[in-house]
Amino acid sequence: MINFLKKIKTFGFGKNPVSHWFWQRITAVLMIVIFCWLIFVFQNLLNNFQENFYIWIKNPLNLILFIILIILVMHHSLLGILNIFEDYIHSIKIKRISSIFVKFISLILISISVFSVWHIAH
Amino acid sequence: MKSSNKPLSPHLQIYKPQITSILSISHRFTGVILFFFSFLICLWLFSMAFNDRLYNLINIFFSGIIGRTILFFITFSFSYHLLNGTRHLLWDLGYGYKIKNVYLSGLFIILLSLVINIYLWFF
Repeated sequence: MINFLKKIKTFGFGKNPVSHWFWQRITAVLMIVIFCWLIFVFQNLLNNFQENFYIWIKNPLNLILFIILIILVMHHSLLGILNIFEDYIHSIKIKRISSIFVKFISLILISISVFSVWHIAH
Repeated sequence: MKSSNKPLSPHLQIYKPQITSILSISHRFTGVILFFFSFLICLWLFSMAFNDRLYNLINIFFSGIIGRTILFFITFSFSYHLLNGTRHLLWDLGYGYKIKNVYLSGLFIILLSLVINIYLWFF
């Protein structure tokens, strides 16, 4: 149980490879669920998408789930990209620099997206 | 340049192409495509919130022939990555390791994502 909690704590960024593997799966499963819901819901918004989206996102539950989805997507892709770096970049230095770079980019993407969605909702 | 002692994964040209390896590398490849697509989603959300002109510009671009072709590849990547991802999750749970089942499920998800995309874009 303590090990399980340790895995949860690091979000897959720790030195522990099991945690990375674990978080990739957790985010994947959650994304499957949320995306199924989202595709189902977005069908009703399609004509005049912008206006309908503005109304739809005002519902707090939709807003929260959408923000969670954004974070899940970016975290899952970040873990995937880090995995590719781990496999194919030999030099430790380049690997470290590119990892920081990608983390930075995904943080920026999360911030802009969440900020925009938040702005639309309020 | 200092390197770690850990060996790298063998580079892709080493392998003889077969359906299993092709599907595996496509999974990564589509993943990277979707990562870059997330930049666009981010820009799209931003423009929807703050810049109507940019939003209209993006919409016009993606209703054109080039934009629609790009979107076709994106939806294909998405459905493929999702289906192959569930295949990976099933493997993690311990199902489908027989080589025959691996081939069958691989073929199945390719066909299924093709059907999904044809339905989505032509009906």
